[in-house]
Amino acid sequence: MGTIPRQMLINRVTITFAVILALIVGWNAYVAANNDGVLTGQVVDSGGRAVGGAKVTITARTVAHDLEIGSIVSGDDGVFRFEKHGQYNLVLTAEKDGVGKSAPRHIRLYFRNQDFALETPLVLSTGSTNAQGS
Amino acid sequence: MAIAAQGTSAGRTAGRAGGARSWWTLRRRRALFLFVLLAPSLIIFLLYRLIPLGWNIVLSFEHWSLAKPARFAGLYHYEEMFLYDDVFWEALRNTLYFMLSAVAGIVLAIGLAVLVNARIRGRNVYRTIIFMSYPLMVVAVGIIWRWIYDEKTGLINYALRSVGLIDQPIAFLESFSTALLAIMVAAVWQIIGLYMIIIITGMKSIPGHLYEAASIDGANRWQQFYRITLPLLRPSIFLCLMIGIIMSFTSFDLVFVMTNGGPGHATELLITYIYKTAFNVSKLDYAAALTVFTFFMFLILALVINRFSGGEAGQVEISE
Amino acid sequence: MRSRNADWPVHLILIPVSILMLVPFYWVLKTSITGENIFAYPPSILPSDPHLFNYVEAWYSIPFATYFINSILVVFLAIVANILIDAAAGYALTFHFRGKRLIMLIYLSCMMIPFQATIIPAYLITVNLGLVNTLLGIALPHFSHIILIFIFKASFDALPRSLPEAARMDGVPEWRILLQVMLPLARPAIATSVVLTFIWSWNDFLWPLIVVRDDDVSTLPLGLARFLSYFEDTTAALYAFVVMALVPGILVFFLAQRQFIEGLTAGARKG
Repeated sequence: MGTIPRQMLINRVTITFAVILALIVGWNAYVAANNDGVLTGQVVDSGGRAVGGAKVTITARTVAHDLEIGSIVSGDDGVFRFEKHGQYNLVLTAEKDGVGKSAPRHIRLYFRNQDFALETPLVLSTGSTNAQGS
Repeated sequence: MAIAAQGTSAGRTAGRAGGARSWWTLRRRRALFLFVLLAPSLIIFLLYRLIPLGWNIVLSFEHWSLAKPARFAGLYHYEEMFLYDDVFWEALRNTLYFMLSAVAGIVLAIGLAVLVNARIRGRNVYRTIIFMSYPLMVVAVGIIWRWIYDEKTGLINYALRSVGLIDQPIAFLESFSTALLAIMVAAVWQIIGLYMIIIITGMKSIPGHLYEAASIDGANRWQQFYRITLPLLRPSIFLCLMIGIIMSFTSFDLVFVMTNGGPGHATELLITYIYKTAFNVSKLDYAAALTVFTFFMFLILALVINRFSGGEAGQVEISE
Repeated sequence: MRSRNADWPVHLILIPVSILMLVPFYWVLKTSITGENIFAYPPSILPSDPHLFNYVEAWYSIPFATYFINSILVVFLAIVANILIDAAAGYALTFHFRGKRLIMLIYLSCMMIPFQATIIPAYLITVNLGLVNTLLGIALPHFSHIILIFIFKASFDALPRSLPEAARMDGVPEWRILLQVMLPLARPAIATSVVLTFIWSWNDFLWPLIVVRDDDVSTLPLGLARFLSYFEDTTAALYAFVVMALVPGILVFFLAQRQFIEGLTAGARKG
């Protein structure tokens, strides 16, 4: 019994296992490359101007409860950046005294600490709060 | 032949060389070999089948718990079981009802088998689709059906309300009248594929020339079915019946996940009651008595079924 | 033979039946990916705004990976043990020896003892063996199945007697004959063993429920039931969990459907 018989290599069982293994490895590689937990976005006011110094809060959302994790302050250009956020299901809110509060932004990720950049900025307003998508 | 010599490795080597002077004769070696081959499985069955059976029987006649040593109890537990335990009787009744679902399932399966066995295109696809439910995790199946039966957003309530058959949703799994039936439907859904496969296998072993001969004699398809197919399917049908009976004794997973015996004890089966008595309330001795009764009832039923099928179903006289 | 045109009544019945049989699959799949609130009435027939986040939630809300790996380990142990033990026993039964009748009788009568009739003493035995709350304790009762022993026996019986005889003449020791001559030729029996053992141990719920205490030794069915009892009707992640738990079983079924069916109907063909 020297070499592995050909039939054993190319039957659907082995191929299935190989594909599954490849998917697992591939997925884990992707996750490893993108799990620094970097969450970035921008805060603007209702006129679209960047708002610096706004407090952006992360809240972790689980089936049981919501738990506030931490907050960060947006820079002069309105951009904020979290690192190692550690979540897969979270809510972002931004507020600044005098300017207003943003509607809560619910973000769901595919894995913990996934790097994510907000597609639309968080809009501070003093008036109605319409839930925005991400 | 065998002159006394110790069974040392030296002796073994000499034996292998064909020595007549070794303790390890061919016969002995073969016996040892067979023993080694059979031992593991026998140990497993001894540990997990035979000893438990005996232990259950002994335990059922004792007062015993993990804390206290055993005391002889005679028929105490059996007395409690038959005379004072309403839950036991309800569980017994439910288990027997459950067996009825086997009958319904088998009838349906025979119909399906006839259709799927017909020489039509895609027969394998149909067979796979119908059989696909069988190898599934029963816990998962229970959760799926629980969701389908959901009072608020379940599929069945939705369908019934949409067509206007009912106004108010029915809480299938919480109502005394429908809970057991609902579970039986789920059970049949899962097992009908197996019944069908068994019956198809039985059908395939019916010699084709019987049908040809009958056709020549002028029998139409229905007559052929009743006179040839059904009688010759007897062993398969009884095998399905056995499986159905076994199912009613073993459907712990489904009941546990869907209703856990509720509402009240409306869906309590003997097996769920045994589990609860043994592991929730820790009345191991009483549970053992329940188990003994359940097992022997199952055994008697199985033997009766076997007797019915083993009788005439064996051979068919074919006079050509 | 019948003409193709007469087939349509059969399809007319079988298609709705097939749809009925498939509905539960579809419904759980749809529930797991739909974006709507699944606890609001009326439910939508098609998944609206499908997303995969329920799967993410199921993965993280409960130690899914642990359950999965435990199940794999138990199944692996059971499969290897079954192949070795059942093939050995099946091979032994191809010989004629004194007491063969008795042994066969023991096996056949053990077949009549369903596992559910043994749970209490089996638990006590497991306690005495010190195997409570261990993966080995879960797997051990699954190490051998009688129907597989008979399948191996039939498989070996079907091989020509000359084969092992010739090897014996050549002085090959018996255990080698089994492992290197007979077993490789019983590949269908091995495949059937693998599939049946997989399905039986993968789906097993009652025994792990009895034997296991801690989460980190739990298998998938146990984890699923636990998820149900913790979160019940609060999250759609439950149904994502269900789908994830079903996929391996379905996969194995499709890969080895023929062996699965042949193994199951081995009893049907005999009687």
